[in-house]
Amino acid sequence: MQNAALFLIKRHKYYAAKTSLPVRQVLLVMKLTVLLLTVVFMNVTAASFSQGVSFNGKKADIKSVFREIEKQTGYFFVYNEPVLQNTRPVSIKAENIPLLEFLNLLFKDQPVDFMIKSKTILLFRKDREGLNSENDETLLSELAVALPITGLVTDEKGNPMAGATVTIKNTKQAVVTGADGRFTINASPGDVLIITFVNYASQEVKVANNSDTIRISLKPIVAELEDAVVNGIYRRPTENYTGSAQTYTVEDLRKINNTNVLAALRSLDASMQMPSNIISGSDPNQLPQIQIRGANSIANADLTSQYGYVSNPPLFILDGFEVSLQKIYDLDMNRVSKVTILKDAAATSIYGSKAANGVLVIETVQPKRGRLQLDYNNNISLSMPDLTSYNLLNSEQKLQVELAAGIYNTLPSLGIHVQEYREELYNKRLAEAQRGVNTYWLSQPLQTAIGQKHSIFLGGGDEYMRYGADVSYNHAPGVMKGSKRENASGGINLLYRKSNLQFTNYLSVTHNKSVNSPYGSFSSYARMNPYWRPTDSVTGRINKILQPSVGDARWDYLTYNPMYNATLKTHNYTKYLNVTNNFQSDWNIQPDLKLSTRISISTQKVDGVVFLPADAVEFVNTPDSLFSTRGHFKQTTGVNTSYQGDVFLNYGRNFGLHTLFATGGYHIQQDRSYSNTITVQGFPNAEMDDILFGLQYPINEKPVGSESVLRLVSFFGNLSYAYDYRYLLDVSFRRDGSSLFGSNKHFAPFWSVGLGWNIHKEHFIQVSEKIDRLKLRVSVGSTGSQNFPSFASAQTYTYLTATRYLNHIGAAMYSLGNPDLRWQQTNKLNAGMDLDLFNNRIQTSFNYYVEKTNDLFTSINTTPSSGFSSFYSNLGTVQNKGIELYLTAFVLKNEAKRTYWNFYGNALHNKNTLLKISDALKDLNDKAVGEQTKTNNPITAPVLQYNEGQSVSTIYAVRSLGIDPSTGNEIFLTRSGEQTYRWSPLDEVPVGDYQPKLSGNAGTNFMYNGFSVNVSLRFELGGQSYNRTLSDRVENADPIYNVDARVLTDRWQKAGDHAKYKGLATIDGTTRTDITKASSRFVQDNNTMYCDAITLGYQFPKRITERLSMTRFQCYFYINNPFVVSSIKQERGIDYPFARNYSLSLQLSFK
Amino acid sequence: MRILLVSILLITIASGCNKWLDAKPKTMVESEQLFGSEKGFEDAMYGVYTTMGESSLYGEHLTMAFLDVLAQQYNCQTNPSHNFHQASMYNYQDGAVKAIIDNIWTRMYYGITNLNNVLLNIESKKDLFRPGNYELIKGEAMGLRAFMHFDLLRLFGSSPVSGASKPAIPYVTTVSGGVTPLSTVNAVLDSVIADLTEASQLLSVYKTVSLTYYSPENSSGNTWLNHRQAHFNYWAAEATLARVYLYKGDKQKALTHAQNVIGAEYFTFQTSDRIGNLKDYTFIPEHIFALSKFNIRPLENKYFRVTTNGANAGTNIQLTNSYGNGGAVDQIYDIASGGVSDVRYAHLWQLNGSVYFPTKWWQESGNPVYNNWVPLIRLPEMYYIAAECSDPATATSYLNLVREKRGLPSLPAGLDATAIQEEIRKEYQKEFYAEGQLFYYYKRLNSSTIKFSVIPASDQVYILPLPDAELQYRN
Repeated sequence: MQNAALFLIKRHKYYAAKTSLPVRQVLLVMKLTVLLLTVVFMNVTAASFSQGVSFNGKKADIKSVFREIEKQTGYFFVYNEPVLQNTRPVSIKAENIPLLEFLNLLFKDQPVDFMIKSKTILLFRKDREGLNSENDETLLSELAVALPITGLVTDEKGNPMAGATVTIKNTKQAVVTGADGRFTINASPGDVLIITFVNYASQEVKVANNSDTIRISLKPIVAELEDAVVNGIYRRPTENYTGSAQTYTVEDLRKINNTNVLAALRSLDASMQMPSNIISGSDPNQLPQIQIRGANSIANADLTSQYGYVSNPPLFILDGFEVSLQKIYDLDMNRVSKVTILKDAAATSIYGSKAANGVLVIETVQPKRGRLQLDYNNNISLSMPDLTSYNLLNSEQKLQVELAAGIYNTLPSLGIHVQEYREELYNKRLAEAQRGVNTYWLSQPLQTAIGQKHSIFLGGGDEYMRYGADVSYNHAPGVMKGSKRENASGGINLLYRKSNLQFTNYLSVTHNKSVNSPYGSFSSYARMNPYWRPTDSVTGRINKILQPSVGDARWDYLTYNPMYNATLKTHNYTKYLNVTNNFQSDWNIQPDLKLSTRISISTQKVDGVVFLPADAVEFVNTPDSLFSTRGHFKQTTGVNTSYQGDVFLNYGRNFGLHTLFATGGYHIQQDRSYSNTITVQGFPNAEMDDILFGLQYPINEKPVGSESVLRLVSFFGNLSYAYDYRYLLDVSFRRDGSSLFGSNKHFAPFWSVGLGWNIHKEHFIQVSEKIDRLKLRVSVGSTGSQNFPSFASAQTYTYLTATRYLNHIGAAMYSLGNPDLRWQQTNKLNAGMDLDLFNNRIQTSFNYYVEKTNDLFTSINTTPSSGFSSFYSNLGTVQNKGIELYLTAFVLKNEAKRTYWNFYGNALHNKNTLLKISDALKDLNDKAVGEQTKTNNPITAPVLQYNEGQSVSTIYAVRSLGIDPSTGNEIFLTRSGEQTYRWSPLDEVPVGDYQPKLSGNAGTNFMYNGFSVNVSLRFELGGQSYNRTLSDRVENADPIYNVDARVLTDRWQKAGDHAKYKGLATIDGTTRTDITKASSRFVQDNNTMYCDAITLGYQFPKRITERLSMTRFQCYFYINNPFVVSSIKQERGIDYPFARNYSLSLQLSFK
Repeated sequence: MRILLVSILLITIASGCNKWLDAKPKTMVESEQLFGSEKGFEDAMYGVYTTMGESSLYGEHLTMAFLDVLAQQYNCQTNPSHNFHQASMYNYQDGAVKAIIDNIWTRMYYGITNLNNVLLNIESKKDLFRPGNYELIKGEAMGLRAFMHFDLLRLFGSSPVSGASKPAIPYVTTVSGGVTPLSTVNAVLDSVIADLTEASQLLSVYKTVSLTYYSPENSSGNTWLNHRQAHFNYWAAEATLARVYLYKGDKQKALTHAQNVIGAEYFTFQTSDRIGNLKDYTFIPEHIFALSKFNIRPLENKYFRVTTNGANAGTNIQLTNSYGNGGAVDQIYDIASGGVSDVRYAHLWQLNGSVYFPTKWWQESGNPVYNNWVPLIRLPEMYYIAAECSDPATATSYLNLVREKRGLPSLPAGLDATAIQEEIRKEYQKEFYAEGQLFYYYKRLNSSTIKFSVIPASDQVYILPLPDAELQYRN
């Protein structure tokens, strides 16, 4: 901070010193100044100043004299502006007289005196001669000057480097090295010089007390460039970057989760939305749905899914190559070095047609130079099912509900024997309950799962050759018995450098096996009645049938034990083997010009098997005449291959104050996928669990499968220009050619322009010293979306392979084609600000964005007599507007004591609006509404509907006034506001929105002397949700199966009850079978806070690691998903329960 | 210099990528590529034939199911829970019935669009074809376009007797996604006749019809000449012209074209040997035009047998009528007055479980060549048309010829025109049982009664409603 007290001069520029300083700092400054002055006077006496000066001027301004002297001698004047107060114009005529003599002459009649140190002439006022006056601030400020330091910047081999920038840290002062690599800068001892050069790693050098020429040799950047934004194609200094991008290191991720990159990112960045999947819970084999910022296109998939609107996955780039979500999901986190989320147009348009939904760039660890190093990471985890959201009835309560629902009542017309039979059934059940049978079915298929993960990394090498090898094994069992995900992978990384060439090759092999639980869907356990016994009380064996059916009456239904299949030999798994080879060569044509070539070849073989033997409960109904169809074996085989290649040139150079980076390149890609499925029937013997033992193919079935190929060719370029690191310009361009486009128009252009302004570097504006960084940036541009069927633009035929005509396969039109079709383009605007304060103790970042997809890709209806009922066109507009806020604050920051305490928080508000939609989308609404009114399995929950002015995630339901106390029926409001008992889908209006108004993360990291604690929380506020538990398991609960406990307490029972839910039985006592559909009664505000992780860590101190010849010895204890606090009480984890995870992780590095 | 080298390298890689980008999945192909070879045109035509054989069209509803339900060949009216009860009551607004009708419309026009696309592309590709194939493919495409439009007209337009100048259906000849205006019944008929006439001329280059997969005359390996019965051949065009002229009321021309077909050497009447031994229930030697439908067996099981896969398919799906004891079938075949010797009664009705079913769609032959046929025009119809267009004496001789082949005694001489017409109706009812032709017969005459129907016939019965989407997007 002492620099704040100094006034600094660079050539003729000067600055007024800050005068308001805290007392303590002033004292510190004083001590330093005294020290300096001592040195100064010693030097003055020792030096001889014999250099000649010539000057001839009349009434010349004193400053012009200074300039002349500086020009002739190379000495600089250093002074504070008030020193020159009351100076007079000078008239001197001098011919080659020594400098000292000239200066004496010059200042003879002036109120100014001088002294000379090195090549600097220091000026101060004559009336301040008392150097021992201790508290004279004016004097101090006059004399506290920086001294010129000279230095030499070379490259690794000692060649001088011209054009390197030398900056004094935390100041605006900078110089550029000359052709001989030398520089001179005014700096005080203790200052830190930062030397930067494009494509070289920057270095920091502390100025010593009496330093001679400082020698700095810069190393070229190989892999790491600190403080750079990486997008998979090029790197740009963060300082120069105008885009919106967030970077997280593996250390950031590790604080939250040690195994799942995506889950860790979700807890770090609010813009990454990954809704907790209420249906599939913690199923390890369920890939998550991800979206960055808002939805830019419309989900055509599942209209009835609660998260159907999250259908816009980002593009995943791993080490420069596009990969699938699955690859990232299965990636060993220890291989990751850094993850960058690219959001706005300036950041993403370099990925053109695939970038509209954002880009996730992941960089992996590269081997470092040095001795052989061994890293070992271990993770042992304990997963325990989290059933806190379930609240089911016990045996006696259940029977109470059954009685209340009237399921044992009969009509007198059915005769006395029916009534007797039902009473008998009830008594039997009651007897079981009284005998103490109260099965907690939920826990039956569950286990506490112990998982483990090991990964080893070996690396090392020298100047020319480096190598790395990694092996990892991950065994992740799920909390449902038998389900697991197993991953084994290995890779070899080789890096070879020779003069200006570098070759890198990474070969990796991954084997994965995902096994699904033989216990089936968890939901079938939640509905089992507690008075049923899962096992035979005598033999202890699992019962196959819980309740036999005698008649076909509703209360006497055949029920199988969902656990039975698990006693058989069944298979339900998918496995894949992936081999990927990435090769890269870099050729430094010139120090500032590099040509890179990359090739990636990846192939993945997928095998899936579903096997059920004849004994499985699924085949109980198959008649004996068809015994050979009992049991089946489904085998799926697939191969995906991908080739990707890039050639690009990188250029970067400083020209004085101008910094220029340029990248231009070419990308080529082919993805091919193929799969087929064969089914064979008839497996009477469960031990014969191979497709070969099947008895027959299903009648009239044939192998099914799919096949696709996609090719892409792109040209891309980026130009990044900065003037004095203050004014920034970024221009990107990409031209994508894809086989998805029609043959006449394979290519589509994408572009972006970004502007930035580093205000903290500004000269003319007074920037508070408390501000370390203040940057404004704005960008606009266009990007494209990936979801474009290839047949939409071109008229396409498909071969009718499922059938034949005579002995020929015919071809029929698949699409009409629309030659005018354009690629769906999303125009993005982003305005942001980065502000770092108080020596980087507070770091903030703010973004405002508007993303508008104008030519939404939708289908347009036409008369069926045109041969097709619809064709594709660009019609409709969807817009996402939002703000993002990031904040990190260090409460404690003491690098020496390894003590930190920070708080971080980030928040996203996104508003999605459908501005214009097509008729076809409106028709989709009718279809969706039809799903609610059909007689067979109607959908009881709201369905996704699209209307102009609403968002894609709006919830549509009929407004409800609650349950009529007199009848137990629900009272609805029609669209026009009248009361009615009748539910009609036409009365559905927007009653909420699934998307939260505000979502975000907050957390804290505390570290003291090697100990660390991290807590990370995630919240969703201001959204609504349709409580499916209330609608399906309370209101529409089927009383013959087990239900939520609120059925007993919260449902209407008799006239006058003010209940939340309709009656179990009608007013005349018969069981209610009417179904309540989308009603606003079940729409609840969803304010939820998830605790994603609590992490404890310890890093052993150096004295211990040294003794163990280790460089790092760290251990972490994680508690993942310890609790959820929500304003909604509903069952979470329907088909697969959620889990809490406890894991212990060791990270060791050996020398 | 180095930079230059690099640039050259980049440009070399990048050139020629347009062609590389034309990659498509194997099962998908762009029109331009498809129509780059003769085989592509053939594939596109096979695609249309396949489409015609779909369940929503001639593979089910326009033959065995929906259309003969409308003609009251089955007892759906008397069974209120039958799946086709609403259809048999002509309740065209019923959801399930509407879905069938909408599908017929949509898929027929889909087929027509496919044909139009062939016709649109074939003109400029004349050079691709082996001698004769250009004419045959173009002729078949034009002929089918007319054939399908004609059936659409017979379903969705007014009967020419009641409203020849009423707007009926669009006659579509373009591929655009745009809206084609509705034409009147007469205008559609004129277009149909124009297309058929041109088709007939084009198809006349190769008149040979064979019922085997390999035409004996075809030694060149030109597969398009094989199995001409399963193509819209020259005789099919002529026979359709006879149908159309009769529908239009131009009996003179109808007779000419019918006689032309009758005179052809390629078609002979079915013999009872073939029925008994080969189980050829669709009478292949009489096929002037038939579709080959891949796998009719599931339909046979669904409609014409008691059991499917061991589970009872249910009486609400079965398509049959009361047989024996003077039931509807006995009435149809005039059992009371000597019809018992009719081979169609003797061979085409069999007991399955405890129910008598028509066996026309049973796929029983051990030789797959005799299975999986959907006859669309058969020889007897030409005799019936000729009879309807002739004086009573000639008409009687035409009818007697067919009766003889079917094992029936000759009609008495001296029948008047009305009696002849009644005999012709009976013949349509017997001959085309489960083939979907009878409804058109009633409609052509705008008959006020449909045999076995409790509902008087009128435009409400004869004119199927256009799909809502067709009307909605027509504005």
